[in-house]
Amino acid sequence: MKKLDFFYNIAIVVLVIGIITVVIYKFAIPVKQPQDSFKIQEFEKVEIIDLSGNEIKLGQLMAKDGATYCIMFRINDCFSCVFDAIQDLKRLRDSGKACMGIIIHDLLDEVRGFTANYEFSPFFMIKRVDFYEFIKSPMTPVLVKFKNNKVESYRYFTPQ
Amino acid sequence: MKVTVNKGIFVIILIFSLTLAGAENFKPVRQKTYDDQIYGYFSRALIGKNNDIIASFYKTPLRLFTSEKSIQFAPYGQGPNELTGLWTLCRYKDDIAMVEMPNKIKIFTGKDGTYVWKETKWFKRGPYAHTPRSVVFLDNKWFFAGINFHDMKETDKKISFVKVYGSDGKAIKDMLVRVVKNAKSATPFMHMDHFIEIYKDRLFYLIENELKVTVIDPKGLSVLKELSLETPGYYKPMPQDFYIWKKYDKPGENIEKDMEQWKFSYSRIMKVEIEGNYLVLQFRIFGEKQKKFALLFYNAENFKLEKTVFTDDCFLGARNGEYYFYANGDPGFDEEDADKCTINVYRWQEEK
Repeated sequence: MKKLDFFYNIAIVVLVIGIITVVIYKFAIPVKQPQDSFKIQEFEKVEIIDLSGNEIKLGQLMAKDGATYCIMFRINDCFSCVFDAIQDLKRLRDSGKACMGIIIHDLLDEVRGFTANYEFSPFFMIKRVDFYEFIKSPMTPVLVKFKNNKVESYRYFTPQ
Repeated sequence: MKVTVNKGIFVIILIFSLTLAGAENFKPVRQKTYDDQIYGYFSRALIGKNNDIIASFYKTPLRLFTSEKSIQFAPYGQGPNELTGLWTLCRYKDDIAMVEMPNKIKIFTGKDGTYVWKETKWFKRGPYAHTPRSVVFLDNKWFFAGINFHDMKETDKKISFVKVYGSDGKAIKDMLVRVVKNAKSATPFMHMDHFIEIYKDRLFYLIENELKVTVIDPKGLSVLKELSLETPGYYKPMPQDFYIWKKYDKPGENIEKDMEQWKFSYSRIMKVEIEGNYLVLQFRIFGEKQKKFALLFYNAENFKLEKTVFTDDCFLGARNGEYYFYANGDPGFDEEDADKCTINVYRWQEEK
């Protein structure tokens, strides 16, 4: 009988420790974002510029229902990576998804020149200052999937 | 009898005078020392229309050496007058074409004693690596020399050494195509310098590790001929496996060391230029009592080696019969020897 009591006591202690550990990890310690995570702060404030020079809120370009796919890159990023990402975007567009490209740059003429050789549209430009202000992306090019004005997933493109 | 003797004397005197008239020396015509300090190794240079020198050196802002001073221009940046990089450059009409990216050329024009941005040209490029090392504009076409990958296949990889674009930026043709057995066999060509130069109505293509010239017809876009150039005895060829890229324990340190060895230890061709009827090329030579470089003058019609000059100066380019050099060698590799920023100008002059 005494042996059984001892067993129950030990079991209770193990369970309590387990529950406390789970509660602490789940609720008390804030979840750390991975270092390489892509994030947009103040989504509603992000402004981009179309190739005619008009300023548009990024939120206005999001699909009402369903996902919107967007590639963000600099024009001197790894060319093969950008090409690869745009090929993926074309496939998504062909399957009926909303897609767009955003180039991080300050000069619209440069963006127009760069995009003229791609069989893809629409392209937009985001000024570098706005990119740093609102978007956290440790590397580019990045292909982001937006849904309900939130980042649902993302993928970085690196040389193969 | 007398006639025969006179005829003999006449012939001797004639040969002697012809020899005298034909004897030429490579003589310095002027020198200019600039209040400037350059540390990086020599990369690209050309002589502009006002006989100013545009030169790029590794990790050094682009320099313009005028007859009076040295000026930094086109600093790093994405603005119109800036460059994020410089792959190579060439003369374009009266201006200078700067290859900023393999698919982008910025045209700079001379203004107020310097060069400023005039226009940007974009090119439709393929998805794979392209590393242009030399470029020319001829017959309304751009010719880029450098390795261009056609696929990502691991075996039987297709590459080409000359890519031709129309003036509208559309790709026209890949020339000097070859298939290498794998990616490892292709990478050495990425680290080599490729040269393309205009001679009259044709183009000469050379690669840094071979004394061989390929003559290209820019109209028909065909190879007219390939021929080996006369190789002097002091030429130290590069080993075949020289540029094979390897994995390093300490990438930063060992790559630098290898790069220096690659550029410094063999007679790799450093600069190719067409001046008058000469195909001029410079490579490094080795020997205790020898100068640092040999400058070889091949006849551009028959490719015979006609003249050779040994010099300690690094050849930057030529224009209107004048040859421009950075004094005492390459400021990066020859370090303290080439510490002073001095430009020497030479010219072939008849012996008086």
